[in-house]
Amino acid sequence: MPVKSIKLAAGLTENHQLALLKSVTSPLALNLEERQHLWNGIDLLRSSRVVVDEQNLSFAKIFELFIDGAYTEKFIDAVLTSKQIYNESRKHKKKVVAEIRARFAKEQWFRQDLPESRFLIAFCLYWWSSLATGYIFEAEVFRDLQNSGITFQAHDLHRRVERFSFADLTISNWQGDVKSSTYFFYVARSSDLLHDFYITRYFDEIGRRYIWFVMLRLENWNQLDGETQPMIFPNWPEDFLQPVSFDFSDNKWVAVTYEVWKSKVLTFQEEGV
Amino acid sequence: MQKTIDAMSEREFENILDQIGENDPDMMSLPDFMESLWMLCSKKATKVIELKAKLVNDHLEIEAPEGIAAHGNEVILGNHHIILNWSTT
Repeated sequence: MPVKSIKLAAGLTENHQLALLKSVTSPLALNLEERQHLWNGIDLLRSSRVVVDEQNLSFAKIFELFIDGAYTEKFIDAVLTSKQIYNESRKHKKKVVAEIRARFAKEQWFRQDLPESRFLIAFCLYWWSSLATGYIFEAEVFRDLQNSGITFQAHDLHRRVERFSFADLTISNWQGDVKSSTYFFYVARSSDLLHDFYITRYFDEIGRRYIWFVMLRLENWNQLDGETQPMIFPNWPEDFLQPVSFDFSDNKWVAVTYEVWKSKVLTFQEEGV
Repeated sequence: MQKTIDAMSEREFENILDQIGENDPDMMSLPDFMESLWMLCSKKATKVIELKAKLVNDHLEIEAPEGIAAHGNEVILGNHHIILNWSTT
């Protein structure tokens, strides 16, 4: 069932396109303004429309029906059974991207004679790559917490309904989310930041590796008997080994290195507080 | 100059598709994150604007980038009028 026609959402500009391209070729080089263009552009593409098999569907619906529904579960199985989650899963991610591309060609969802179909395939591959990146990081976190002896309940990644649950995991009655990039904090409205903690990471360009850290509410950090020093902008630390606190939207938050947070949680759970 | 998706040749676009999945599209460095946090916490946008100026008859003539208003030695940013003076001391 080939794509018949595509109507891109009004307002998709050159800047949105350039930001999307840069996120593929050199995501670390995106500045904040370009990142905003990227997220706005992706929102516009999500609501763009495509006529396929006599149905008029949004790009988001096409993704849900034909990409997420067809590839994600199998991918998650492969991730969760990987010995070395990070390395093996990244190879698998690329393999699935290639499979999705092949399907686009076979089903004629990407047609050279329909230039707008470039946006459909770019959106679907971008979005799937983004979701896959998130699932890989979640699986890494869950396995590390398990290996570290932390008691926690995680949502079941195998079940689609659970993948969209409010909290990714619960630790000692604190509800948390795993975010593969700090972008979430930038795009979130304060009303979206409802969790007690967020396990996330940034990319260390010099060491060429991810550094994991945790952002949590100050009241939760106090329960773990943690110390902090206030963040004083425009200066900021080179890492979060020494936890820092900051005010954001009427709440006090703490940023702390994952390992430091984990050892505090472990002590908290062992003492049975 | 980077071409947009709709302006690329078939080969250029295929090359972009080849790269999807290589990088994590949302990856951020610590400085990027901290800059965004600073912006959010201070509730104001931070933007660095590069101005060029030349000395004409002892007065600065500012050459502002596109989108920024400048007249002589005065730059207008929103409601702010900024006067730049020059001195040898």
